[in-house]
Amino acid sequence: MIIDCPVCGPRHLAEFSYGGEASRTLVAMENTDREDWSTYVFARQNPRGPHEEHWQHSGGCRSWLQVRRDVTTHRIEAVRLIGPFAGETGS
Amino acid sequence: MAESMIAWPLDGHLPAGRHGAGSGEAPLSLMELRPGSIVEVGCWPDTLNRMRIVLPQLSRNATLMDLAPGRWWLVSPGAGLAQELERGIDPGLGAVVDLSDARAVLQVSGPATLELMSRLVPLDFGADRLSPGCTAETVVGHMGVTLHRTAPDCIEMYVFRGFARSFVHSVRQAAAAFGYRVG
Repeated sequence: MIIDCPVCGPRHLAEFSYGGEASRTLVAMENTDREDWSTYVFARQNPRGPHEEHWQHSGGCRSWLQVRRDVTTHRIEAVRLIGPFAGETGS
Repeated sequence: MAESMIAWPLDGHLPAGRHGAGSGEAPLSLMELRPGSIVEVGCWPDTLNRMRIVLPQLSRNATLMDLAPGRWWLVSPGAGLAQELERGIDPGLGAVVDLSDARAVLQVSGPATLELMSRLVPLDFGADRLSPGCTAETVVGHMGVTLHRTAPDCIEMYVFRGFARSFVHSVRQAAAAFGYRVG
Protein backbone atom coordinates (compact mmCIF):
# COMPACT_ATOMS: atom_id res chain seq x y z
CA MET A 1 0.00 0.00 0.00
CA ILE A 2 1.30 3.43 -0.93
CA ILE A 3 0.14 6.66 0.72
CA ASP A 4 0.74 9.89 -1.18
CA CYS A 5 2.01 12.14 1.63
CA PRO A 6 1.23 15.79 0.80
CA VAL A 7 4.68 16.71 2.14
CA CYS A 8 6.94 13.89 0.92
CA GLY A 9 5.13 12.38 -2.06
CA PRO A 10 4.16 8.71 -2.52
CA ARG A 11 5.68 6.52 0.21
CA HIS A 12 5.42 2.88 1.25
CA LEU A 13 3.20 1.73 4.11
CA ALA A 14 6.34 0.79 6.11
CA GLU A 15 6.91 4.50 6.81
CA PHE A 16 3.46 5.13 8.31
CA SER A 17 1.73 4.42 11.63
CA TYR A 18 -2.02 3.95 11.88
CA GLY A 19 -3.72 6.52 14.09
CA GLY A 20 -7.27 5.22 14.26
CA GLU A 21 -10.66 6.24 12.95
CA ALA A 22 -10.82 9.95 12.10
CA SER A 23 -14.55 10.49 12.53
CA ARG A 24 -14.58 10.32 16.34
CA THR A 25 -14.68 13.48 18.42
CA LEU A 26 -13.15 13.63 21.88
CA VAL A 27 -15.71 13.77 24.71
CA ALA A 28 -15.57 17.02 26.71
CA MET A 29 -13.28 16.58 29.73
CA GLU A 30 -15.97 17.73 32.17
CA ASN A 31 -18.39 15.12 30.82
CA THR A 32 -18.42 12.11 33.18
CA ASP A 33 -21.11 10.10 31.42
CA ARG A 34 -19.91 6.50 31.20
CA GLU A 35 -21.92 5.77 28.07
CA ASP A 36 -20.38 8.73 26.19
CA TRP A 37 -16.84 7.71 27.15
CA SER A 38 -17.49 4.05 26.40
CA THR A 39 -18.68 5.01 22.92
CA TYR A 40 -15.66 7.23 22.36
CA VAL A 41 -13.15 4.63 23.50
CA PHE A 42 -14.65 1.44 22.10
CA ALA A 43 -17.26 2.08 19.41
CA ARG A 44 -16.05 2.10 15.81
CA GLN A 45 -17.96 2.42 12.55
CA ASN A 46 -16.05 -0.51 11.06
CA PRO A 47 -17.48 0.08 7.58
CA ARG A 48 -17.08 -2.17 4.58
CA GLY A 49 -15.84 0.37 2.05
CA PRO A 50 -14.42 3.88 2.34
CA HIS A 51 -13.11 4.80 5.80
CA GLU A 52 -11.77 8.11 7.14
CA GLU A 53 -8.70 7.46 9.25
CA HIS A 54 -5.62 9.09 10.73
CA TRP A 55 -2.11 8.08 9.74
CA GLN A 56 1.19 9.52 10.89
CA HIS A 57 4.15 9.63 8.54
CA SER A 58 6.28 8.48 11.47
CA GLY A 59 9.12 7.19 9.31
CA GLY A 60 9.16 10.36 7.23
CA CYS A 61 8.14 13.95 7.86
CA ARG A 62 6.27 13.06 11.11
CA SER A 63 3.13 14.83 9.83
CA TRP A 64 -0.35 13.63 10.75
CA LEU A 65 -2.59 12.89 7.79
CA GLN A 66 -6.27 12.22 7.29
CA VAL A 67 -6.67 9.43 4.76
CA ARG A 68 -9.81 8.14 3.06
CA ARG A 69 -9.10 4.45 2.41
CA ASP A 70 -11.39 1.77 1.07
CA VAL A 71 -10.87 -1.03 3.59
CA THR A 72 -11.98 -3.73 1.14
CA THR A 73 -9.52 -2.77 -1.61
CA HIS A 74 -6.92 -0.60 0.22
CA ARG A 75 -7.48 2.02 -2.45
CA ILE A 76 -6.51 5.45 -1.09
CA GLU A 77 -9.11 7.96 -2.24
CA ALA A 78 -7.88 11.14 -0.53
CA VAL A 79 -5.03 12.31 1.68
CA ARG A 80 -4.74 15.64 3.43
CA LEU A 81 -2.35 17.16 5.94
CA ILE A 82 -3.94 17.95 9.31
CA GLY A 83 -2.63 19.85 12.33
CA PRO A 84 -1.13 23.35 12.53
CA PHE A 85 0.26 23.28 8.99
CA ALA A 86 -2.89 21.85 7.34
CA GLY A 87 -3.17 22.83 3.71
CA GLU A 88 0.60 23.14 3.15
CA THR A 89 2.27 20.85 0.62
CA GLY A 90 5.96 20.53 1.36
CA SER A 91 8.16 23.09 3.07
CA MET B 1 36.52 22.23 21.88
CA ALA B 2 39.70 21.06 20.21
CA GLU B 3 39.27 18.71 17.27
CA SER B 4 41.28 16.00 19.08
CA MET B 5 38.70 15.90 21.93
CA ILE B 6 35.75 14.96 19.68
CA ALA B 7 34.77 11.29 19.38
CA TRP B 8 33.07 10.99 15.99
CA PRO B 9 30.24 8.46 15.93
CA LEU B 10 31.63 6.30 13.11
CA ASP B 11 35.21 6.29 14.41
CA GLY B 12 36.52 2.72 14.13
CA HIS B 13 33.45 1.42 12.27
CA LEU B 14 34.64 2.25 8.75
CA PRO B 15 38.06 0.64 8.33
CA ALA B 16 40.00 2.07 5.40
CA GLY B 17 40.53 -0.05 2.30
CA ARG B 18 38.58 -1.98 -0.31
CA HIS B 19 35.86 -4.30 0.98
CA GLY B 20 33.21 -6.66 -0.36
CA ALA B 21 32.65 -8.22 -3.76
CA GLY B 22 34.75 -7.86 -6.89
CA SER B 23 38.22 -6.49 -7.40
CA GLY B 24 39.68 -3.38 -8.97
CA GLU B 25 37.96 -0.04 -8.62
CA ALA B 26 34.97 -0.29 -6.25
CA PRO B 27 31.61 1.03 -7.52
CA LEU B 28 30.87 2.55 -4.09
CA SER B 29 32.71 4.81 -1.71
CA LEU B 30 31.73 5.29 1.95
CA MET B 31 32.91 8.17 4.08
CA GLU B 32 31.93 9.65 7.43
CA LEU B 33 31.15 13.35 7.12
CA ARG B 34 31.92 15.57 10.08
CA PRO B 35 29.99 18.80 9.73
CA GLY B 36 30.69 21.36 12.45
CA SER B 37 27.02 22.35 12.70
CA ILE B 38 23.69 20.61 12.20
CA VAL B 39 20.80 22.81 13.31
CA GLU B 40 17.03 22.30 13.20
CA VAL B 41 14.84 25.36 12.82
CA GLY B 42 11.09 25.30 13.34
CA CYS B 43 8.45 27.99 13.07
CA TRP B 44 4.80 28.61 13.96
CA PRO B 45 2.00 28.34 11.40
CA ASP B 46 1.52 32.12 11.40
CA THR B 47 5.24 32.81 10.89
CA LEU B 48 5.75 30.29 8.07
CA ASN B 49 5.79 32.86 5.27
CA ARG B 50 8.14 35.17 7.17
CA MET B 51 10.51 32.32 8.01
CA ARG B 52 10.63 31.26 4.35
CA ILE B 53 12.08 34.69 3.59
CA VAL B 54 14.29 35.11 6.65
CA LEU B 55 15.90 31.66 6.81
CA PRO B 56 17.66 31.67 3.39
CA GLN B 57 19.10 35.08 4.31
CA LEU B 58 20.40 33.79 7.66
CA SER B 59 21.72 30.51 6.28
CA ARG B 60 24.40 32.09 4.03
CA ASN B 61 27.06 29.34 3.58
CA ALA B 62 25.02 26.59 5.22
CA THR B 63 23.13 23.92 3.28
CA LEU B 64 19.41 24.48 3.80
CA MET B 65 17.28 21.33 3.79
CA ASP B 66 13.45 21.36 3.70
CA LEU B 67 12.04 18.58 5.90
CA ALA B 68 8.36 19.44 6.35
CA PRO B 69 6.18 22.55 6.55
CA GLY B 70 7.75 24.66 9.30
CA ARG B 71 10.80 22.38 9.75
CA TRP B 72 14.25 22.87 8.26
CA TRP B 73 17.79 21.67 8.79
CA LEU B 74 20.87 23.75 8.21
CA VAL B 75 24.25 22.07 7.90
CA SER B 76 27.59 23.84 7.70
CA PRO B 77 31.24 22.77 7.92
CA GLY B 78 32.03 25.29 10.67
CA ALA B 79 30.89 25.21 14.31
CA GLY B 80 28.69 27.84 15.94
CA LEU B 81 25.84 28.03 13.40
CA ALA B 82 23.16 27.44 16.08
CA GLN B 83 24.31 30.42 18.12
CA GLU B 84 24.39 32.54 14.98
CA LEU B 85 20.82 31.53 14.06
CA GLU B 86 19.56 32.11 17.61
CA ARG B 87 20.64 35.73 17.27
CA GLY B 88 18.58 36.13 14.07
CA ILE B 89 15.49 34.12 15.09
CA ASP B 90 13.53 35.37 18.09
CA PRO B 91 11.04 33.06 19.85
CA GLY B 92 8.14 34.88 18.20
CA LEU B 93 9.44 33.81 14.79
CA GLY B 94 10.58 30.27 15.53
CA ALA B 95 12.86 27.93 17.45
CA VAL B 96 16.46 26.78 16.95
CA VAL B 97 17.81 23.42 18.15
CA ASP B 98 21.48 22.49 17.88
CA LEU B 99 21.76 18.87 16.62
CA SER B 100 25.50 19.02 15.85
CA ASP B 101 26.40 16.21 18.27
CA ALA B 102 23.17 14.28 17.79
CA ARG B 103 23.70 12.73 14.36
CA ALA B 104 26.12 10.46 12.55
CA VAL B 105 26.60 11.35 8.89
CA LEU B 106 27.58 8.84 6.22
CA GLN B 107 28.22 9.76 2.61
CA VAL B 108 27.73 7.15 -0.11
CA SER B 109 28.98 7.89 -3.61
CA GLY B 110 29.85 6.09 -6.81
CA PRO B 111 27.99 4.55 -9.78
CA ALA B 112 26.23 1.89 -7.63
CA THR B 113 24.80 4.45 -5.15
CA LEU B 114 21.18 4.18 -6.29
CA GLU B 115 21.36 0.38 -6.52
CA LEU B 116 22.63 0.34 -2.94
CA MET B 117 19.79 2.67 -1.89
CA SER B 118 17.23 0.32 -3.43
CA ARG B 119 18.42 -2.28 -0.89
CA LEU B 120 18.19 0.11 2.05
CA VAL B 121 15.27 2.51 1.68
CA PRO B 122 11.73 2.31 0.21
CA LEU B 123 12.16 5.38 -2.02
CA ASP B 124 11.83 6.03 -5.74
CA PHE B 125 14.89 8.05 -6.71
CA GLY B 126 13.41 8.72 -10.13
CA ALA B 127 10.74 10.88 -8.46
CA ASP B 128 10.89 14.68 -8.70
CA ARG B 129 11.13 15.10 -4.94
CA LEU B 130 14.29 12.99 -4.78
CA SER B 131 16.28 14.53 -7.62
CA PRO B 132 19.78 15.89 -6.85
CA GLY B 133 19.60 18.67 -4.27
CA CYS B 134 16.51 17.21 -2.59
CA THR B 135 16.07 15.97 0.96
CA ALA B 136 13.96 13.05 2.20
CA GLU B 137 13.22 11.48 5.55
CA THR B 138 12.73 7.73 5.56
CA VAL B 139 13.71 4.52 7.38
CA VAL B 140 16.62 2.08 7.09
CA GLY B 141 15.91 -1.09 9.07
CA HIS B 142 13.46 0.79 11.35
CA MET B 143 16.01 3.56 11.96
CA GLY B 144 14.85 7.01 10.98
CA VAL B 145 17.24 8.56 8.47
CA THR B 146 17.41 11.91 6.73
CA LEU B 147 18.81 11.71 3.19
CA HIS B 148 20.30 14.53 1.20
CA ARG B 149 21.04 13.75 -2.43
CA THR B 150 23.85 16.13 -3.27
CA ALA B 151 24.56 14.80 -6.79
CA PRO B 152 23.07 12.06 -9.04
CA ASP B 153 25.48 9.49 -7.54
CA CYS B 154 26.08 10.95 -4.08
CA ILE B 155 23.83 10.71 -1.02
CA GLU B 156 24.46 11.89 2.52
CA MET B 157 22.63 10.01 5.27
CA TYR B 158 21.98 11.50 8.71
CA VAL B 159 21.04 9.07 11.48
CA PHE B 160 20.63 9.35 15.25
CA ARG B 161 24.10 9.13 16.78
CA GLY B 162 23.05 6.23 19.03
CA PHE B 163 22.15 4.16 15.95
CA ALA B 164 25.51 4.79 14.28
CA ARG B 165 26.92 1.27 14.68
CA SER B 166 23.74 -0.58 13.65
CA PHE B 167 23.24 1.81 10.77
CA VAL B 168 26.74 1.53 9.36
CA HIS B 169 26.53 -2.25 9.76
CA SER B 170 23.36 -2.30 7.60
CA VAL B 171 24.95 -0.08 4.98
CA ARG B 172 28.21 -2.04 4.86
CA GLN B 173 26.35 -5.34 4.57
CA ALA B 174 24.31 -4.05 1.64
CA ALA B 175 27.34 -2.39 0.07
CA ALA B 176 29.44 -5.58 0.29
CA ALA B 177 27.37 -7.09 -2.55
CA PHE B 178 28.77 -4.41 -4.88
CA GLY B 179 32.20 -3.80 -3.34
CA TYR B 180 33.10 -0.53 -1.64
CA ARG B 181 36.04 1.60 -0.70
CA VAL B 182 36.64 3.55 2.49
CA GLY B 183 39.22 6.34 2.43
